[in-house]
Amino acid sequence: MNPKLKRNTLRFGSTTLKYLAIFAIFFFLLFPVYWMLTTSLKTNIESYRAIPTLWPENVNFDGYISLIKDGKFLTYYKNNILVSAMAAAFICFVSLFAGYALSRFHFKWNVLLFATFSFTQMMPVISRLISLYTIMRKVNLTDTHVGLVLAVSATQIPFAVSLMASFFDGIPRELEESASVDGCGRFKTLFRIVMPLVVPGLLAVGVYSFLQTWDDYLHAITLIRSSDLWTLSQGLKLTYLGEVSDWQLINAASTLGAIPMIFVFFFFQKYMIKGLVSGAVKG
Amino acid sequence: MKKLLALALAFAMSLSLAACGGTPASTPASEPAAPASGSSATEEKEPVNLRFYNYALSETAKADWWEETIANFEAEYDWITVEPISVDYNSMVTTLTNDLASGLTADIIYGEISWVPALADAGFIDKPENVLSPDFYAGYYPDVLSAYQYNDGIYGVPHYMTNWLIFVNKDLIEAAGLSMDNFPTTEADLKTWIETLADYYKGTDVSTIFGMTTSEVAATGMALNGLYTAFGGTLFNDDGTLADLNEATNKTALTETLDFCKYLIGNGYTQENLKLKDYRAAFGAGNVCMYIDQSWGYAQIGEVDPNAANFTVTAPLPTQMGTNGKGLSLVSAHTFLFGAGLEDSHKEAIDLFIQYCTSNEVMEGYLNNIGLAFPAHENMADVKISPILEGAAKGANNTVYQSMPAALASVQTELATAALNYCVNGMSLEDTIADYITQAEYYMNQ
Amino acid sequence: MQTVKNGVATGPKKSFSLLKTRRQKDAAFSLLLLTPAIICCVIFILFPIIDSVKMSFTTYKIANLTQNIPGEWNNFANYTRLWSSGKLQDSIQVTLLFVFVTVALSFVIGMALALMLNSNIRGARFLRSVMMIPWVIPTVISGLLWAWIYANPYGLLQYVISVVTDGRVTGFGILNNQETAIWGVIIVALWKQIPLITLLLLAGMQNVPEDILEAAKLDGANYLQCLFKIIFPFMRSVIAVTVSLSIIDNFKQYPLFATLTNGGPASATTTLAVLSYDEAFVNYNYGSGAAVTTVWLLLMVVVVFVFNAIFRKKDD
Repeated sequence: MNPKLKRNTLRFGSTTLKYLAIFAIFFFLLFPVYWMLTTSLKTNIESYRAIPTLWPENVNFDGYISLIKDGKFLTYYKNNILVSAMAAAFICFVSLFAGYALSRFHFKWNVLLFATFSFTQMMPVISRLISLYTIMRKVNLTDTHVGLVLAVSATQIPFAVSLMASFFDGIPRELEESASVDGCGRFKTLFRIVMPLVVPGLLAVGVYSFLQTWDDYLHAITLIRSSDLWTLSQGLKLTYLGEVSDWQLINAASTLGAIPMIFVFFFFQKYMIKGLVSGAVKG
Repeated sequence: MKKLLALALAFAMSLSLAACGGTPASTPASEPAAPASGSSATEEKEPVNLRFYNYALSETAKADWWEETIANFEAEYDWITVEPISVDYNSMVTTLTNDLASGLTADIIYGEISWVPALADAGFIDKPENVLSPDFYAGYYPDVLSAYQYNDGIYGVPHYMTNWLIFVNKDLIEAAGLSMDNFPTTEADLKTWIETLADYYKGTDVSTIFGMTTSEVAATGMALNGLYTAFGGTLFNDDGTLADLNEATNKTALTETLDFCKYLIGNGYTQENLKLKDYRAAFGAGNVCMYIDQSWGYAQIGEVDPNAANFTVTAPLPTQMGTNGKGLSLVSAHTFLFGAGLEDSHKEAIDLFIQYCTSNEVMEGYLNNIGLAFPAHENMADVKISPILEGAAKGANNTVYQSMPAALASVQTELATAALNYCVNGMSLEDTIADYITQAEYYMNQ
Repeated sequence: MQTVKNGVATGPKKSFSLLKTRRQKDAAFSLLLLTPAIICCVIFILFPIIDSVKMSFTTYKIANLTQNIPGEWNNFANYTRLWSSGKLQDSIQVTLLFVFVTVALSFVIGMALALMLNSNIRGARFLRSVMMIPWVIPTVISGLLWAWIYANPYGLLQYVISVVTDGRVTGFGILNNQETAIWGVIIVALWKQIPLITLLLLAGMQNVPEDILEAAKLDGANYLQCLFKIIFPFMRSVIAVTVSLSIIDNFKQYPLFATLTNGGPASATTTLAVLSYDEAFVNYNYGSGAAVTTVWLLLMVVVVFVFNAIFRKKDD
């Protein structure tokens, strides 16, 4: 056999194989999402068939209608957006300062702080729940969104700070030095000169924090009682999944809970990916 | 930066303040004065707000019923407000622990009998004899009330009750040539039915011939303990300790319970490791011939198919099960528990509310449409029982109660683990029972 | 920092004091900026952790919590009780199995996918975006979504398996069997984690210099040689970070177990996370729950430490 030909068939084989492998992995990643969507459009009777249908015989929106008519679902939604947005803002604020300090000033305690931060990142949430509740009670912050925001923010701050620090590392010091020569105060320098340059970093931290706090479940069930303050994961679990086995409703709620996150990600993915990558890769 | 410092300072101050605070008095904080209530009431009453912890609010039908009932009650007794607090079934004790520790009060808790030990141990609940008016309290059926015995007394009252029963899909049974008139009263006959149905429905959408839950959750633990009791076993001694499971009657009953599960799972008559709610949904979809449940499981059947009443009937457990079993059933009840250390004005309001919720007029619709069950108080004696439950009504008196240890829920749930070990994981009978005893003692001795 | 040191060492007295005050000012400013982050970490994370470790040596039940009674020292009874029941050892074993398999598989698959996406294929950018969908879906929802796929008897998986085996295996419930349940959870964890790992590794591949790869190819190196001799060494730090993040994430995993198996069947999927939750919030034995988390924490620190040590050693 002609060696050149052999090489070409080999290449063809491996490209086909490559596309097949990519297809298989993406099928694994995306089909479950499709299945969630289809099930949300099937009646329960259709879902309980021995032979599942790939697409609903009769597209049925009852799951969505009852969720929206119910009103509770929208409340959880609103609460979760509120909590995640406040947490994201708070995390940005805290990590902006701390990241700047760690990037620009090198003191002995920096090492200790980085070590503490990476240690705190490893903490399992469950181990803190009891004490956390006791502390929140003492400051009267149980059953408030503020308390929840503080608690979930604390879990994200260590990572956000190292992320911000790596963003600051990428900004030349000369700018600040010339600013300080011009007589700008320290805070003025930080806000006027440096901050505009790290807006992409802040966005990355903000969106990342938003997504991560949106995922919180354990803090919410521990700290929040009143049902009009419940967040989405909590509300989903407590309202729709208790002793009910209504797969149409569950999948409809899941779909509605997942879609906005997918949009947030696509909208901000430029910053997100850049931020995550530079944070994780450099850190 | 000053702001930040001020914030930190305020934070530190509030810490120290709260530390001195201790437990504030149990007055409801945010209680607006009741608007113009004077003329209708015979005397001016101090407004009372009852905090009502209720897990059932997660189910829409029940939530709507409670909302309406509370509104009607408040209209009639205008100095009382009832504040419903929705709590997850599995986190009631944690919630109460947290809330009571932070100085909130709990007046009424709506839950299950099996919550009594944990809540009584924690000192959260009071005996109903200290809360309810004696005349009304005396009206509870003693058989049901004794299910609330824990340590030194009775710690709760039933709202309504059920035995463990069998839900039957009449249409599927009749299509296979069987008739409800001859529903089996012995285990042997039941097995004949199961095998007939299995032959008939081989390779069809019917997924379950005789459903028995074996998932490791609290409700399944209750169901398996119910089955074990029906086979003539006793799990706990009268003093709340673990019964001797190697003693002949108990061992036979446990063996027969496990063998029954293995018969069902091994032959594919039921799935392993499913929850009650799974069988309810599948039954509603018309894919289950029979399964064991509590009467109020119908609520979820009806959610899948609103017309399920057309094919749903019930039957009591067979009265001859295994060697010694008489098909006796443990009582399940949705339950009112009362907070500890309440003021008299609250007790009085609670009494009125419970009496209101335990009357024919208020409950008839509920017991027929929302939570199918049997009455547990003579004030509801005349209530019309749902036609679906007619078949099982015979078994409603064939009940027995058990005394409860603190670790009731975990010890019962371990029964599911034992069933799975024996039926699915190939553990021998001796090992399964020995392992069960080890696990049960682990929870009993904590 | 350099200049400061030099100043301290060699500068004349006047400039020394100037530098010192400048450094003090820097220190004050730096600390001021760090204060909010430190306060948050101390109050909401470090303090609760210390509290929990303390609690693990005491008998601590509901009444302690409600009446504010400090726990009573019980001579390691929480630990010995967990140990002698065998629960602790079992859950350590399950945890390590879960972490090891998930981390290894997600790394291998993620690396393969990253390599493929990095090789001029059509639509790589688009694929990289949609790939992230599982990662942004909240964990509780991911659990539910897969619980429905796994459901027996109506789930998709059991149907596919009964078709593939031509009806020999019916009613297969991956989560219902002791042997397979942990794999059911691992599959979901992979589904959720592969996207991020692939993304990070893809980014790390940008550090691999094209020209060296080209030169190696000209010298006749085959693909595997390029991979192990050039690509991996250049990606070392990215790989180290990605894998240690993945180890920590999987050690902490709780919501997936809570929604999928709750530790069953017969404690086949009871990880340390599940065990501690059960001890503390199902059996209300907070001391015992705290003992489990203490062991959990120590184990995690050890594993991460060992991993870093091995990676560093290779580096030298």
